[in-house]
Amino acid sequence: MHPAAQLLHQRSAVTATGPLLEAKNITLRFGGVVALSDVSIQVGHDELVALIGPNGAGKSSLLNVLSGFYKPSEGQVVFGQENITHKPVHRIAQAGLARTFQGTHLLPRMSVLDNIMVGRYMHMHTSMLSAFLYYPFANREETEHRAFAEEILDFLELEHLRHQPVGTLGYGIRKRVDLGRALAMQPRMLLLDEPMAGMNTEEKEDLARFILDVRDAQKIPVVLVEHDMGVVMDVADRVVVLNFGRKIADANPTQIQQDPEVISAYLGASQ
Amino acid sequence: MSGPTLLPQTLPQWLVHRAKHQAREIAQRHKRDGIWQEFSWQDIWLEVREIAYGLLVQGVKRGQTVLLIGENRPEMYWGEWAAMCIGAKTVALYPDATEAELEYVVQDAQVVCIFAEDQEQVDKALPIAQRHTQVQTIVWWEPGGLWSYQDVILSNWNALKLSGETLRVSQPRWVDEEVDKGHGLDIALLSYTSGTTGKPKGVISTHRWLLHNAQILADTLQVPAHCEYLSYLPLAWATEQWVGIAMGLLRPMRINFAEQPDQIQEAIREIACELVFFGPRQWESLAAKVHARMLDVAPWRRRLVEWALHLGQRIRAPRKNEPEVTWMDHALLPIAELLVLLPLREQLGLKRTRIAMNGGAACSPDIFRFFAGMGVLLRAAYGCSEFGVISVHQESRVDPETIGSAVTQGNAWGPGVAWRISSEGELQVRDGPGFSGYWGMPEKTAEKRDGDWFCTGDAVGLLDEGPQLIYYDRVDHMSRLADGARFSKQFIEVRLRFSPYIREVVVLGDEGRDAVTALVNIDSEVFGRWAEHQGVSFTTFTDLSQRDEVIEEVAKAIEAVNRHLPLQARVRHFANFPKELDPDEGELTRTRKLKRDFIEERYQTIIEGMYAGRDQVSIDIPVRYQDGQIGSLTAQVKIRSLSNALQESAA
Repeated sequence: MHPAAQLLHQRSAVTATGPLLEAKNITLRFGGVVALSDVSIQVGHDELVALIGPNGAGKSSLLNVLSGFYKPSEGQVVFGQENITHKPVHRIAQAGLARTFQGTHLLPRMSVLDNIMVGRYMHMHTSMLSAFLYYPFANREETEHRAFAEEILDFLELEHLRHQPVGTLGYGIRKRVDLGRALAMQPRMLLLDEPMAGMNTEEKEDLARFILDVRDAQKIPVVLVEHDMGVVMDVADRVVVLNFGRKIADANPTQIQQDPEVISAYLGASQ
Repeated sequence: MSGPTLLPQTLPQWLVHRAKHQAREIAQRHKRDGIWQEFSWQDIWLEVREIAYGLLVQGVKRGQTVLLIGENRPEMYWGEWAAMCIGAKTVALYPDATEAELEYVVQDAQVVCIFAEDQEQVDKALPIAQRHTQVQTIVWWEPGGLWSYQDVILSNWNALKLSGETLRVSQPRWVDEEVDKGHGLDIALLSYTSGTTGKPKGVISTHRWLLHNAQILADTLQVPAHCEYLSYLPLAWATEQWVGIAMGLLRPMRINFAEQPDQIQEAIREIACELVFFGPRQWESLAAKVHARMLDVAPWRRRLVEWALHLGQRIRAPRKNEPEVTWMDHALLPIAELLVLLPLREQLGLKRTRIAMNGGAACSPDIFRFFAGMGVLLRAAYGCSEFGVISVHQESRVDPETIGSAVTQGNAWGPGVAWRISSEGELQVRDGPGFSGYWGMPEKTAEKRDGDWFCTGDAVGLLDEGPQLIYYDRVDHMSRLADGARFSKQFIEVRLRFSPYIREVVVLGDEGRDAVTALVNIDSEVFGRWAEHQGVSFTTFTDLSQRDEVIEEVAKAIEAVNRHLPLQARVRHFANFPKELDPDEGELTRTRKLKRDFIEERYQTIIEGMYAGRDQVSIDIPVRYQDGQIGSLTAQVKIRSLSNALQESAA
């Protein structure tokens, strides 16, 4: 097994039955606007779940609730055995839930490697003082984290861009760096918000391959918000469909494609 | 160490020798995780030995075949050496070989074990292993994408080592004894020919043959010990087997491996290789990169670089038509070096390069001159995977037109190469490393032999002043004149097109003719500028092309090429086309390839005139204007004969 996969696996392989992530009866209101109403989803330990729906259906809102950026008006989110509904964002990240954003929130002047190292921050223990004085401990820790970051570079085939500032790279590559930074956190689950928006077909295929690899090699479950139906139907194990803040379907891709409600509400009545 | 019997006889024996005497010395480096990881001879031998035990456990036996397919990685070298340790034959294939090509070789060589680098190669190997049950194991070492593969036949590198552990503990001397059993004439490698003509054929390569070739290259190129080399040429190419696999052990050299195949340039720069072996295309792309970069910089910097390169070229690779090099130029060279040439070499990773080789095909004189000006002399080596190294540019005798002089000096592994040129103009060789035959194809082997001579199938000539060989073409592609003399249209055309004055050229001559002639499409832009400098006035292309001064310049260019040809094959007459060849009129294809038959028909009058020995003809050909109207062009075309085509001239 890939060394990075091994490392990551150790953490994610906490054997447990039942879903790893469960959102129960989530309702989210912004004033009078109901963004989500009574949505429940579950994500298993080895699952790639796609979240789809027309614009404004509440996909990103749900992702933001899951990762703690929004606090739901009603309902709760359970990750592992832990209720994380009202925990601060950084605690949720520490619990092992990593996410990427629409667009990229990378540090454009820093190199690919440094951006990925940022993802390791959570696991670093060196204080600023010992880092300045470069204690043997700080040195050792730096080496370990660098080795881990290199494994991710290898996994995502970014070695040749290691020292390039992220700002000079193409959008497709930047999204891959974004994924790399999320992986650097050694998450137990990944939430990806429209990772393929604005990409060309080739970039999409590349990234889809890497997302599948994350699931296959590292056994990390993935929740994916995506507009591209082709990608969704190809990669997802299960598809959850939202419409006007409600969950209207939750099934495997083949069933979704035949679901009359989905067809009329989302894909349009013509199909 | 005088006689060959005192030296290790096989590659694994050399490896043991190195591990014993130079255990701690760095033998290989591989960039991984952004850092050059180093391997000593000791490290490598221990790794190779563990793999060899693994192969024994998998049931690989002496004389069986192990195949390796993948990019240049240390594992490819180690796998090959490990298989050789236990007396197995090896085959290396190009990483982009198709499944069908791989299957053909698996069947032809009865392969029992496949080292397949990554998912791409494993995907090709798996279905083949199902159809050919003699394949017992597929070993991979790059895990990307292989996580979910469950096939029992698959084993990763570490698992293979692990499987041999029990055997290694219980029989710690087994592999060492197998290595000792090896003999110089054991088959080390089957190197498959590219198969442009029919099915690929596996050339039998013995350990001694590999070592002999490595020794030739080491001696003629004066490769220093511990020379830094980047493994880049595919292992399926015999050259990499001579240079990397065999010479790496024999010299020894330090073999470096880039992190990814597309990071060669970066790796070369970081290592600053002393021995660089590229094909003409890599040299060209390197030169193109410099030109492209120059376009991006400020004009004064571009002019500085151009000045320095030009000065370097005039001093280091002088041309006849350039002004004499003065003491002033020599005085300025160190400044050019300091400001431009040295930093340029450093940028390209050629700072420490002592031996720059160009293999595979000839490179254009411009490329040669470009690098020579920079201070990097490109040398050629010529040989074939059947016979081995035949000729090399030795010492300072480097002429880009030639493929060097034959390696007639013998060494510890056998005699030097003896050669002759047959009546057909074919180069035939014997002795030297020698041809051991094709695997399982006695008839094909016999076809390549003429008595004890090996037929290279290549037509060559001699440079007038010395034993330097010139490569013309494949014998099959040579044209013939009425008196039976052979010549290569392509060789002449390619060489002529190198001249800046000549844009296109059609070389004529066949069995119905008694001499070689040529029709030249001059480069009107270059000649336009030239005419301005010379004060020659002209009106149209037709006028320019028939000016005596212009014809004289073209004649000089052709005579220069003629000097490299045997007397009967020299261009005797030529004429300049009175108009530019044009794809719109069907004279060229859209990709600017010559439409020979059409041109010969259209310019029939000139051609007949040249063979009739006339000095001027008038022609009348239809032309199509851009707006679709058809007009006609009437012109007087002069025919010029070349003085050095009938007898050796002093020039």
